[in-house]
Amino acid sequence: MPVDYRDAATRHFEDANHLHSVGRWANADHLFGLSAECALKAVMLALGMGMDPKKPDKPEAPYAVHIDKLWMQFPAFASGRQAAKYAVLMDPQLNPFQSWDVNQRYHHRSEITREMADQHKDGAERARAVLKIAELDGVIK
Amino acid sequence: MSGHPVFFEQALTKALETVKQFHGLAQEITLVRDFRGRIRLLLPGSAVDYRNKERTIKRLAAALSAALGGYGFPPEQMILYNEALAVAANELSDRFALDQSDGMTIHLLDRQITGQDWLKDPFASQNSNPRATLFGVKGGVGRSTALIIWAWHLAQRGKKVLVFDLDLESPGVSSTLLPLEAMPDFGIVDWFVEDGVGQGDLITPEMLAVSPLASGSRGDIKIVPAFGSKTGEYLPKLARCYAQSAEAASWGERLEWMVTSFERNEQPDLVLLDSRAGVHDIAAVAITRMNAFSLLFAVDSAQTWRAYSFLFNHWKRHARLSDLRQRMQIVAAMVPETNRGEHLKRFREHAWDLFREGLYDEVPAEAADAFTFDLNDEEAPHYPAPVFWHRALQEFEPCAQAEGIEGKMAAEAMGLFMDRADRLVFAGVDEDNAK
Repeated sequence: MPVDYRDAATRHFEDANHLHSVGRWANADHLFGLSAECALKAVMLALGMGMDPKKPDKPEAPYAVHIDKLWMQFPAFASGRQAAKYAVLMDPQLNPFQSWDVNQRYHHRSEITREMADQHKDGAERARAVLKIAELDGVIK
Repeated sequence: MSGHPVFFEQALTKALETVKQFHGLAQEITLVRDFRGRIRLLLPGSAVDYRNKERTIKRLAAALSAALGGYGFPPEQMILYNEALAVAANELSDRFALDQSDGMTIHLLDRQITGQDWLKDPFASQNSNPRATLFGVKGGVGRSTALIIWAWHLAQRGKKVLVFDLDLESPGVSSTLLPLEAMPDFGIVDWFVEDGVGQGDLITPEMLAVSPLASGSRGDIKIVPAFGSKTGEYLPKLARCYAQSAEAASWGERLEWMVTSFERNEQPDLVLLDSRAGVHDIAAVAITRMNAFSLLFAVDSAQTWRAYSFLFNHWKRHARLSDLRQRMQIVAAMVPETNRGEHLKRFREHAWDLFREGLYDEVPAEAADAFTFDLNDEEAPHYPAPVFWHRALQEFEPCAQAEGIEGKMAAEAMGLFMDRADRLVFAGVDEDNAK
């Protein structure tokens, strides 16, 4: 099946907010991280990121990573006048997903606190802003 | 789809015409024109709010798609909704109203890679001293030379002048005002790079030098050059200058911040900004956003007037046009030695045409509160302050010449210009305070 990062970013974000609003912190947290990853990958794909020739549903190295690492990759990826505009929307010094890990889905729910979910909600909103601004600019159709 | 291709300049008109036929749809509609010039529609609220208007929306999307050709989108991608953009709400603040009729306001949100500053509001300025920007729509007309002679004349009069060389792509004022040995370590390009990683303050003390040109006068000329003696690799630094900073401060905001910090330390009587020639972001900020008085250099040639008319017509959309146009003066550069009167008369007529077409109100001059001037009104912004061609100004190297600048030559070439410029920039400044 073909990837659709933009739609994936939106549905993970919507569902994460839904879970967050009823206090389901652990799964909200997981989906906020996936939403941010998909939002950034949608923008990067539009700005010229290639896909892995052997696995066409995966980005090329070094971008086949989750948001805890991707957040730091994005500013390094963005070069040229157009991309630099999106890079400055994200502070590489302060990665809001530093404490997020995709493997937390295997952990007990009590490991994920409301504070963690709130912080990752904020990070997901920032990644979403990058996506939306790129849409306005026509970088993403 | 008609058989005729749609080009950029027609697309916006076509989009407006199409949208106006659907005036019952919403009170506020925004046309978004993207990086490539393609146009989409942004509606307030979310898709859910338009459930009972679904057919109308479909028709509108199809009509726009058909009307815009290569500058449109397929119907299903034609409509965006504000609510989905809530995260980027401040992105909408740059839109301006294009049309108001039938109870509907149509805005344009123009997404550009560069040149956004021409139409933005001035910064909330903290400077108490006046500022003047010297600009030319084309280079090579003696703008920087005029700046240097004017600065020297002001220093003679006891003024403290602070000059910024913003002509980063072809720095000139820096070298003319400062011999090599007087160069500071760093310059403006260094500051923009260091500020990008939060270290701008570390080099500001090493960016200012006193020009020997004004030694012996009651005032002084200090300069913040484009580069310094330790700048090293100029091009890789220049290539990073125009980036926004990590705090997402725009290039213009950063420039304002830098200039203000020097003003606070130096307390100059006047700041002179040497802006690079041409329609460039540096000029956009220095003319429209820094509360400076703009001296617009021109020679009497069709290409110059054409280039200025692009700029003036763009400014017609400026929300603060009435403030902006009060702070402008055209300068007749390189006025030839022979037939001066005839030359200036022709220049004045062409400048008058330019200002009437672009910036003056279309009413008789005697109408109250109208911003418009007669052709021969000597106080009018179109009535040129002249800089006369002078042999001594060719290959002008005043720091390398023992005699520096000769007062007689300065008066001959620029006396009229300097009288006028002094009056304009110090208008409203209490002469008692300004030494």
